[in-house]
Amino acid sequence: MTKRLPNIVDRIVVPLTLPLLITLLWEVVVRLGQIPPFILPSPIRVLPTMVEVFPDLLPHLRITLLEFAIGFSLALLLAIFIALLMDALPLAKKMVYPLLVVSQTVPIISVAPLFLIWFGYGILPKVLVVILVCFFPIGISLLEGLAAVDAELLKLLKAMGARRFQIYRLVKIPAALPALLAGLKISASYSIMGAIIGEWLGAMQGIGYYMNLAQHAFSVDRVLVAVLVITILSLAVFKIVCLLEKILMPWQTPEAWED
Amino acid sequence: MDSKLEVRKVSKRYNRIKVLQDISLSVMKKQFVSILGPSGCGKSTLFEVISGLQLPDNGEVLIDGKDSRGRTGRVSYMPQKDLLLPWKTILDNAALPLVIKGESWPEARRKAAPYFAPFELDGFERAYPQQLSGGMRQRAALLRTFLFARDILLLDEPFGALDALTRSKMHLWLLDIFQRYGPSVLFITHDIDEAIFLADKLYIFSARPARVVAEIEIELPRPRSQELLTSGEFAALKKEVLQFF
Repeated sequence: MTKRLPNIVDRIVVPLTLPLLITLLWEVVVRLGQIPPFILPSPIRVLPTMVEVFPDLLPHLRITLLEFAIGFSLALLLAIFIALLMDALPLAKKMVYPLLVVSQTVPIISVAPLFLIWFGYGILPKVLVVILVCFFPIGISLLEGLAAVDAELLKLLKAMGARRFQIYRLVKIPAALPALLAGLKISASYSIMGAIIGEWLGAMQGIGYYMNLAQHAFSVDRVLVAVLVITILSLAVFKIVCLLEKILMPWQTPEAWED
Repeated sequence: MDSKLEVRKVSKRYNRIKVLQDISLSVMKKQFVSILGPSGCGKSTLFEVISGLQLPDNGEVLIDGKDSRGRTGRVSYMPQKDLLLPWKTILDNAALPLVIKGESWPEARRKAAPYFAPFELDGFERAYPQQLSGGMRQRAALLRTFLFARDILLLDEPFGALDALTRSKMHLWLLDIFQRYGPSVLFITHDIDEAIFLADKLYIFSARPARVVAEIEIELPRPRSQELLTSGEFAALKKEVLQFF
């Protein structure tokens, strides 16, 4: 018999222990070291700031979420389209694959300012950064998922006379779904950061813009509030993808069958 | 003669390596034919040729007397791996070939459902493959093969991955299915007992390139039970087969 923790302890208390300890340590260090609040405010001082500035943050939050939503969706659609195309046409794979890798080696920090020059201070350049960041993990995962489908299974379907689109619909796409979601998880955790980087380099709205302002005002507590908000957003996006995984792939977590 | 499936002088090379050499065999209607040969002798290639996935370099494949070279969609085969789709329920897995043939899912499910009892899968229609035991998965895979084309079953070491006890249960079950529905079966194996116990006729293949070394009629009465395995007739047949190895 293995000792099992109650569900709530297992799922909530255990994961929260370490962050709480770190916060506690932070509080202790600030107090014992008598660090002035403009260098590092203690967590107890950040929380009221959070409550105080939250109404001001909301419009920025909306913009960041909008950039994320548009960028992430477009990245997903584009990745699915390109991956399917590359899987179906070996020639397309040969032509596009190197370009994909190159797109990932370009440092975002160097192209994002160019987007500003070309597309101005609106949301478009941020959306582009999100796409650039998210597209690659999704596309590559899906492509590998499609290529990894059991060759014998494909043979069997061909023997049954399945046409190409049937093979994709019935086998290849569902078989590649776990890989697609693995890619989605990676890009979900980057996506908000992409939007923030875009805003941080030049914007008139958004959490990244807010953070930039706070930084220039040496308002460390506000910077920390922005960091906290970004973290919560990223976690939320990640959790949504995990939830999506459960909904789309019920066979991954079936209840044990009773004999 | 009522020949269901006939292979005439089929040869096949893979990357210049000769895999099949002048293979000729025939399966009559409602006949159970075993192919016995060493592993990796090219028996699976033969199934790919029969099912139309590969073109033979020479020779003919006749199904119901019609040339079937390179024609997929007529007969299916069942490989050693069950190859069930993990994201589909057992019912949907079994119904899959009907959907490929153009039927709608509800229609295909309705046609597949009555076979769950004889295939000893009843109650598991909505289970996913990984919830089933190895033997049940093979029965589901056989049901899928059967629903695709119930007159010819090509079985490629279907019980090879099962433990001995499960396997002998599966033999009796397969014989029961064979008696009930009367398909023509071509059964590949490297297990001598299995080959003799199930079949009406036995072909012995050589190591690569595969040739037909012997053709042995097995005139054991049906229905067969496990006592047959220890009978004198069975031993005599086994002795006859063993001299080719």
